Amino acid sequence: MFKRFVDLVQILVAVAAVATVVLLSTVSPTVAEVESPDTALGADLFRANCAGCHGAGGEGGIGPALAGGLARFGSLEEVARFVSTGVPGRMPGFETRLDPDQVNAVVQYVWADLAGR
Amino acid sequence: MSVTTASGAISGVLWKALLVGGAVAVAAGVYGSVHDPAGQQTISLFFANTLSFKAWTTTLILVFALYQLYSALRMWGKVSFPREMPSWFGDAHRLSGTLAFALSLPVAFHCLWALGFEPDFSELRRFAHSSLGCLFYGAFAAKVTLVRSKDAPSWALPVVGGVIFTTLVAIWLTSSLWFFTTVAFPGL
Repeated sequence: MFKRFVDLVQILVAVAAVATVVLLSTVSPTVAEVESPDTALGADLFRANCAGCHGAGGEGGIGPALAGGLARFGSLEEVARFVSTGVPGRMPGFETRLDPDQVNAVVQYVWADLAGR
Repeated sequence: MSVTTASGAISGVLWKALLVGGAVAVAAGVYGSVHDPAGQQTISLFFANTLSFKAWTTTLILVFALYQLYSALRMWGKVSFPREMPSWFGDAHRLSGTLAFALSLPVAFHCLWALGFEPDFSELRRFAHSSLGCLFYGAFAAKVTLVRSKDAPSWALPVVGGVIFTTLVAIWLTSSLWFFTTVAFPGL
């Protein structure tokens, strides 16, 4: 009885594994995430708001290097939320200085161009 | 081409396992390298975010792997507890391995689809984690190839199982432990 149950579980997991491989090759990111970022806008905003602490090339300075600093984030949404709210005493929140589109432009520029994700 | 086993017999199944495992590992690495990382969260269940989900799921996988190690040692007679192996012991070993693999799927999906393979050696943790992830699935595929073969030499399964377990521990160290110590704990 237990053996049959394990056999059944193995079959289901094998199907799940195949489904995972299929999903990897077919699922596309949502449109909002893949919209071509306005790289120039993101770069301009980065120079004006971020480079002073993180370095012109994101190499770090007062703030951490962005290539390593972004390793803690699993998605662009998380980075955008972090940039918007900041960290008290360590990094200002930018939600009062930048609108959501500007935050997204900066985040996409940092994510794709500086951090090399 | 053939491999000579300790007993002198020739085992093509070892080459088959090596080829299958190598193909799976390389395929995972190639996909992670050429696929444009989506940079999105995927599944998080009741956790705060996907990374937290992954950190705890990998920890649970490690628990299953520890049971795998112990039950394998018992089945191979390297430990003697329980003195009498219950009839379900072997199936419980299979089930724990199956569940560990099943749990790894959504974790690997996010790693490959949303983050991709880190080729930069200077990003040592991410490079090691990426490489270990590919090795894990390659070794797992090799074990699946070997486990039902009657031709495999007796040392093959313990060796591949040991590689899988060691790799998994290293994966946990470079992901969950890193997350718990540098990002958030418990991070729920």
